[in-house]
Amino acid sequence: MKEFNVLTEKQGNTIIYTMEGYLAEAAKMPILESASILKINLGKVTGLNSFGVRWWCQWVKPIPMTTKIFLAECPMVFVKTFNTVGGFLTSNMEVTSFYVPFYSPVDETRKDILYTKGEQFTGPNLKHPTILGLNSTPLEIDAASNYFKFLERQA
Amino acid sequence: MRSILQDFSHLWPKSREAALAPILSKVTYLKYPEDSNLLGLEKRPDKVIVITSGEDFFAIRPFIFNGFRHFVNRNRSDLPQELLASCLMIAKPAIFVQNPIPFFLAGFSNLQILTDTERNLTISFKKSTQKAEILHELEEFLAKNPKTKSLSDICIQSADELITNALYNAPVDADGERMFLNVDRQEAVEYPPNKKATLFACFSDDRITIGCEDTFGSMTVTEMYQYLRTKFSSDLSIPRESTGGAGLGLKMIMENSANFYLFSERYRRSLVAASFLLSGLKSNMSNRKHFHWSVS
Repeated sequence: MKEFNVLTEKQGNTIIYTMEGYLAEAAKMPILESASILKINLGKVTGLNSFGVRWWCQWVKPIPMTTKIFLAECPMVFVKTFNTVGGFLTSNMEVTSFYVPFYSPVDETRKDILYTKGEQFTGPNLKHPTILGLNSTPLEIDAASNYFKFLERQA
Repeated sequence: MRSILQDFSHLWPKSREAALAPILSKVTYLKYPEDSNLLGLEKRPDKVIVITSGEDFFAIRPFIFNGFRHFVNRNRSDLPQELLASCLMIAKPAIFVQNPIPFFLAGFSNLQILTDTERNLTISFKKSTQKAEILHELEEFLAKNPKTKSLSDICIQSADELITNALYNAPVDADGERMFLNVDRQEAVEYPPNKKATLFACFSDDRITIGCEDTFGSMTVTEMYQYLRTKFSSDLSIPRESTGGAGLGLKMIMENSANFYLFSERYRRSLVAASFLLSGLKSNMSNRKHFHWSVS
C-alpha cells in the first residue's frame, strides 16, 4: 500500500495540492492556507477507507464557501463516495476530470478512462467515448447506475 | 405458508433432493414487492427469506426494520446457492456454524477450491499495526489474477473495513464491555493474549469472497438493528465526527459487494464476509444484492 502523500505548490492566489497513495488513518492532510482557488489533483490516490472519508470531510469543512475548489483526475473510489456520503463533495467544489471504469468482457479486464469537462461531460450531459479493447471489441462502461449522479449537482 | 421446498426445489438437481428436502421444507419465504402487505404479519421474520426482484436494494428497508434477516435476489444466477445458504442458516445453524466459508464461496459445489493455495489467502492478526501489511499481502494476492485485479480497489477498501471492525468494534472484555469502540482509529490497539482474528480471501471462477472472523462474537441483535436502522434510513451517509470510527464501514462493504454475510455466535465468534462477482464492478455495485445476517 502506497503511503499517502501531498505535494503543495502555491501560484499567486491558487494553491495546488497533488495527492497520492492510500487515504486512511495514517494520512497527514496538509494545513490549509488561505487562497481563493484550490486545485486538487487526485490522480495518484490509490484508495480510501471510511476513516479517509472522514479525514477528507473534516479537511474540506472549514474551507470558506467563497474559495473555489477544483478536483482533477478523481479516481473511481472517490466518485462513488461523491454519491453516497454527504459533505464529501461540497457545493464549492467543481470536478474538472474523473475516471470512469470500462470493462472488457473478452479478457475480463478493467480500464479506467479519464473524462474531462468540456470533452466527455458538460454539466450533467455526457458524451461517452468508444474505447476499443482486445480484437477491437468496444469496452462497456462498468459503473453503478448512479455513478454519474454527482454531475447533476455540478450543473 | 409457502416453503422453499414447495416452490423452489427445481433449482437443485434431483440427486440432491433427499439430502436437501429436510432443510428446504423448514424454511418459508415472502416475495418482494408482491408480499409487501404481509410483512407485518410474520411472527418470526428472522426465520423467513425475502426473495427480492427489484433493482433498488434500499427499497427493502421496511422488511429490514421489521426483523427480516435474509434477502435473496431472484434475478441473479447464483440464486440456488444463496437460497441454500439462507436455508441452512435458518434451519440447521449448527451445520452452518461448523464451516460456513464454502457456502459463501460456492455453495459446496466446488470444495477443491478451498485447498488450492493459489486461490486462498488466510492471515491471522491481533493488532492494528499489522493492518497495512495485511492489506499489502491482499493487494499482491489480488494482482495475481486479472479478474481479481480489476476489483482490487473495492476489495481492498472492503477488507480494510472488515479488519478495522474486527480490531476496534468486536473486542469486548469479561463484562461484555466494548474495549476499543471509542478509541481513535489512529491509536494502536492489540487483542488480549487468548484472542485473534483471521482475514481470508478465496476465489472461484465466478466470485471472490473476503471475510474476517474474530473470536469475540460480540455483536448483539439490538446493535445490528440499530446499525441497520441508522444506515438504511437515508441513501446518503454522514461520517461520524466523534471519537472512534467514521461509522461508514459496514455500509461501504455492502455497497461494494454483491453479497454480504454477517454471522455471530455469542461470545464465540463473529464472521463478516462479502462476495464480489468476477464480472466487473457494475455487477457488484448494482442494487441486486444478497444479504444475510444471523446473530445468536
